Amino acid sequence: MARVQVMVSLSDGADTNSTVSGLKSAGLSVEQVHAELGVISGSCDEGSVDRLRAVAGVGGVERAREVQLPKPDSSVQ
Amino acid sequence: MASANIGTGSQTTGRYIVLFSQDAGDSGRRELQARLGIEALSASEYSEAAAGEPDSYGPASIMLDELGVSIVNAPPEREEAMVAAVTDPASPIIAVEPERIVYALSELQGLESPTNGSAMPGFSLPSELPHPTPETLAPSAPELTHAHDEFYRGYRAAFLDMVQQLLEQRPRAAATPAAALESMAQVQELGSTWGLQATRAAQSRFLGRNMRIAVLDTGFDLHHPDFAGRRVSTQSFILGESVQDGHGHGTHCIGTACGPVRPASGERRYGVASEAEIFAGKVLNNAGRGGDGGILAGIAWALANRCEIVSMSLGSPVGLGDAHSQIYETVARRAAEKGTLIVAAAGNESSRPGRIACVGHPGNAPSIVAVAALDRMLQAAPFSCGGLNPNGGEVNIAAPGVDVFSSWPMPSRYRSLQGTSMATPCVAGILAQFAEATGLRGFALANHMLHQARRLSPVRDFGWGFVQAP
Repeated sequence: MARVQVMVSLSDGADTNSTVSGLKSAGLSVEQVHAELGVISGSCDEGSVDRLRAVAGVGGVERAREVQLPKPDSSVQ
Repeated sequence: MASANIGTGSQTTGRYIVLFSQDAGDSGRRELQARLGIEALSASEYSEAAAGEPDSYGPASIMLDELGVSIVNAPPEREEAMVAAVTDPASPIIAVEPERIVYALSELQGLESPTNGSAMPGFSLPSELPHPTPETLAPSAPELTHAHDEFYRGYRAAFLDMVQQLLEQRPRAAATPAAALESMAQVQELGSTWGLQATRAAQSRFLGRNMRIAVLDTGFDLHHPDFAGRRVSTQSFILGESVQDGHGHGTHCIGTACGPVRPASGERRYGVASEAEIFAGKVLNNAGRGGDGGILAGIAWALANRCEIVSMSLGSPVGLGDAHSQIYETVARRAAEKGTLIVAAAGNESSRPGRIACVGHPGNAPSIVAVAALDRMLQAAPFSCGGLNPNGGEVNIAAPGVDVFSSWPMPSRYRSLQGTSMATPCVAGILAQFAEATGLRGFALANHMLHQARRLSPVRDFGWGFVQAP
């Protein structure tokens, strides 16, 4: 199954460590935990996204986007 | 009426209507003399002179003390001095307009549209503002003399017009009416860029001292001579790439937000918060590409370093009806509550006038300040996205985003660019000025800045209006 990059936010007041443990069990390969912001980035199988949403302490899960600037020679940036 | 003197369509009458602050008193007349070398007659002196020799009032300048207005006869080359007076807080002159409605009076009396067609580009009024007609004028007016009734009524109409405009603006912004600001289009970028002049950032005494601005972008040219000796903290969130800017975008944005008061080259000033501490976070690679993971890591880094402002000239398009990212909203709210405010570009997907695109991600998050771009004439830039979606999808503020001169990686050194990417760091720099001036942080800082903006219409394109420095 295809791997997707995701961002996970913690609910207000959720415990970071226990939520991260729950996310790992639900299939998230954790890449970065930003405790002060209550947000985690990582990757998982495409089919696991809904399971991540069900983990206690999770506020939201979104597929990570990419942004692309115009080339340096473009006059509009 | 001596219409030959005041012009019947000529665009070079050389007359201007000058509005003084309420408490100006005699200082208004002194200011005219000192700055413009103009001796203004009082209304009675003027009437006497005009009665004796009707044509003689063509070149005269009049001071209407009751109105706090002077009608000034000045050559076009004095425009610059007049604009300088308007932008100087110490000057009692708060607005200048060309004598336009006066010679439109004949049409006005016939109730033709008085507002179409401006006598002089750069001094035009916003067309949607209501304009008074002689019928709507207040009854209390200075005593008028026979043949000059129409003449004075015309000036009074122009004056009320100007007051109308000022009343519709916030008190702080009242000192920079449209006419004066728009005339800056005529002014060369002497000393500082047009954007720094028009936002009053260059005139502000606040330089963002002790403030920290994080610019999350393509990095920074660490060898740029204009930043030699500046304190710069860096972090790359791009695997395998150093923070050294291989694109240029980041260096340009950092220049606008934090460039020096006096560039080493002797170039004009282009940076707003010249004494702010620079945090250059590389979240976009040298090809200008980056993902949410790196951007979030950059925000976390800025927050951990207690940056007051995070400037993000990045984003991706959003469709009509699309919701904002809950994750970015949560992150931005938490950061702002801890004193780190995020500003982001509204996006460049519009092709005005035909197509207006929605404010992009992540600028469409309610807790992120979305910045639109305007040009020297204070018109929305053709590419600038508009507030079409509700619940965060609004434009919050507008800033200079056309012909923006700033730093570029060596050996180029400088470059002029356009885009909401260029407008965003201007707002970031001005926020640093406000943060220094007021001590406010987070949402309180954002709200303060928004309320000081000069209102422009429509709200869809400008939000609270044109950003103005403290």
